[in-house]
Amino acid sequence: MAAGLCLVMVLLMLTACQWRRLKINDLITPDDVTFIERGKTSLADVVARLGAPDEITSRENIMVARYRFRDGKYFKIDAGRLLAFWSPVTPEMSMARGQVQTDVFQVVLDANGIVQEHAFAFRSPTGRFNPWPF
Amino acid sequence: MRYVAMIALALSLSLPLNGCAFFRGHWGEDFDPQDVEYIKKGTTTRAEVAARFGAPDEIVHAAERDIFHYRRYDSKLGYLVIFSRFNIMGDHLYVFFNREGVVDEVVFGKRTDRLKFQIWPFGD
Repeated sequence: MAAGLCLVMVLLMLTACQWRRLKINDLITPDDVTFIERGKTSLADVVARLGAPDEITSRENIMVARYRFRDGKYFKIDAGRLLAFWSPVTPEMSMARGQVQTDVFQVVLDANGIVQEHAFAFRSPTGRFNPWPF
Repeated sequence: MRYVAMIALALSLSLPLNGCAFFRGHWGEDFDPQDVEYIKKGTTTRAEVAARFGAPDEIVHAAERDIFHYRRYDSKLGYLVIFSRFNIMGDHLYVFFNREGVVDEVVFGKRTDRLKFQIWPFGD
């Protein structure tokens, strides 16, 4: 009996939850770019391992290739949905939080397409599913 | 006990029936690999590339060279009641031209081949 009630409670709670995920491109980690050597690796080498960049811009005699990627996680608990089973009114009583891990990997190339510098532009913390908004 | 089991069963059956959806969105035209192979370094001209692929989405002037940038995006959303996942990926084609307007380098990357419909939001 108790186990059955627990199961019902868990299922009821599940109906009040939402897990959402948004992912733009595959994440590139520092381990993925260890092959890049300044002054040796070419754009073709980088593309062969990481694919084509999302953007190439230029400034004077250098080119900058950028790889952009994002990973967003959103978790919501709406306690009001629990009322839907026995009430005609379902007021929203939600707690939700969304976190987006975003980053840009930049490769600076000279006029001949040889890597001069490479770096992650900003490494935001890894997102978690967490409904606590405070 | 029987009522509890029935309620649990009804709830568990109603969960997936409450709603599910699959959405797909494109931006730009898909790249035909034959079209990309058509571009030959040292021979294909800017006009030939433009005739085959149309006007580029962007022209970058870098290190005294013009770069034609063509791009395409694909997105897939899977939604099942309490779980959803939205994946977006882009394909990019860069064609580098030398000062004479002849192809110098071709950079092509197709990520959308790996794009999947997913519902489960956890993991990679």
